[in-house]
Amino acid sequence: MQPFEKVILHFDGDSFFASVEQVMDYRLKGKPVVTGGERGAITSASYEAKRLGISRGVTLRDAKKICPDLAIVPGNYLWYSVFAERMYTIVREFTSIVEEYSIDECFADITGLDVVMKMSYEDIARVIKSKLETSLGVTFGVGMGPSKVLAKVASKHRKPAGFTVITSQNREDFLRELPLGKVWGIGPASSIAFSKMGVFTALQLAETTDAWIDHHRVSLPYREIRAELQGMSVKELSLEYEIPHSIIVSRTFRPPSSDREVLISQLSKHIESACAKARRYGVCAREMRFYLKTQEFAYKGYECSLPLPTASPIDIIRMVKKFINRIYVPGVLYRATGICLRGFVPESHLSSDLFGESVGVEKRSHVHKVIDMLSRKFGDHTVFLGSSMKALGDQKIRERGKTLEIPMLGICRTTNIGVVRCVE
Amino acid sequence: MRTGFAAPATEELADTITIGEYLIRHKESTYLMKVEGDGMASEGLLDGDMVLFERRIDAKRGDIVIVLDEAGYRLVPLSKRLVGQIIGVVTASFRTYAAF
Repeated sequence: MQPFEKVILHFDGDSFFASVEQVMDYRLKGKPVVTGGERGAITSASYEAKRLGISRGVTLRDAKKICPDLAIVPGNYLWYSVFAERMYTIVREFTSIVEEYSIDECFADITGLDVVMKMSYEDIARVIKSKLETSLGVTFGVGMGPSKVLAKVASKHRKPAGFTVITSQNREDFLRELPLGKVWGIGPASSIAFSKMGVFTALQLAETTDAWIDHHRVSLPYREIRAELQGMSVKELSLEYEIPHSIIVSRTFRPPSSDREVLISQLSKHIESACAKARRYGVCAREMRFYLKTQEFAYKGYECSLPLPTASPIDIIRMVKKFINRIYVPGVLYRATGICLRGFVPESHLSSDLFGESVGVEKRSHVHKVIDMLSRKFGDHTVFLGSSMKALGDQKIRERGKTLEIPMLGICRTTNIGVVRCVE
Repeated sequence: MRTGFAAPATEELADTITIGEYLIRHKESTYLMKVEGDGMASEGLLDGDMVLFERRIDAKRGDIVIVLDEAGYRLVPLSKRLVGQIIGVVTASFRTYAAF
């Protein structure tokens, strides 16, 4: 009874970061929680917070005014990526055609699976959804449709924990009231451009004629969206791993310190982790931001672009040392540091510079290859920079290199086996 | 002429298994917790033991489950009268000793 060629599912983790925080720390369960404390802006809000009107875009100060009891937690991106990996793996148990669209979303093509599993497509979607929700403890908005664009319209339709199916019969009902700007792939500028041509809703775009499209010289990406809204699958699922938008590493340390060298050493450790991750993706960063968090939970950050795209910690630590005094205040106690790398370009796209700085970069890349191999074999930070010594020296002795690949439910923001949540 | 042991071929190495593989059957739904106190000594779980549990919905009577209530997490053998929400079913445990 499937009138369409393709059956695409879109999975969208509900308030993903905040939900993971609630899974990992039971004290946050059922409470208004936002993540993003480390960058001073809300990155995710739990449904309890959303019900109060707190969402991305609201400032932390306003959110605190709306809800004085609001729990503001720093993002733990390691956890989120572990949960994301689990999400992709669970969906892949059903089909190999899975697009890891983002840390909290993925697409899956289940065309033909009804015959293999002897189940209706709706039931297959429900089985995957329930497996995701039990295994991760996080609810998902799931959409099913004949194209990626329609599957995404469907998953957004009812949140949280919704499951919506768009078919040829009901397609028009979903698109009739949907403002064009809410359709995946249509930004604010293009939605204004379309409205000037008299197209305001998704259905209006779907119902334009070929002649109209040609006459207005609508470009290919929008022709594709139009086709997808009509129920034709033209956007292929991308099975490659996406280049991340940014890599963030941050950690609270104890005891708090006002020692500039300790802070640099903490940053150095994070920079090594962030660079190792960038190298795993085969990318170099063009921009960086680092920050210090005081004992009073105030954040001070500094951002700058890098002279050359790099995934070498030495280049980035040099910038930290150069600029840390712009944000560091002697005598103030700090409790956390963080680093964010951004503006990634693929390693292979790097062109040589005029003045030969990239020669040094190349030399170091051999060193990194070896360091990365050692890390794979013996665990992260097996070999580390002298500048990370203060932060890592003691820790390595404590840990004895023992880490597990499974998240430990707890309140401590770590995957160190020594500080796991206790159960009585 | 002295010789050492023959290096095992990679196919033979494929027969080995890591402790993690032995203890974890469903990696995607398995989580770890540390036991605090000796309340579960009768079940062979002592203070400081690590337990692995799976988030799943098919807990059966006699399974050791992790239950969440206002006071936090508790380990209990699943019985009829149970207060709190079942978080998962314990599937394995391990312990390290003084010499570790």
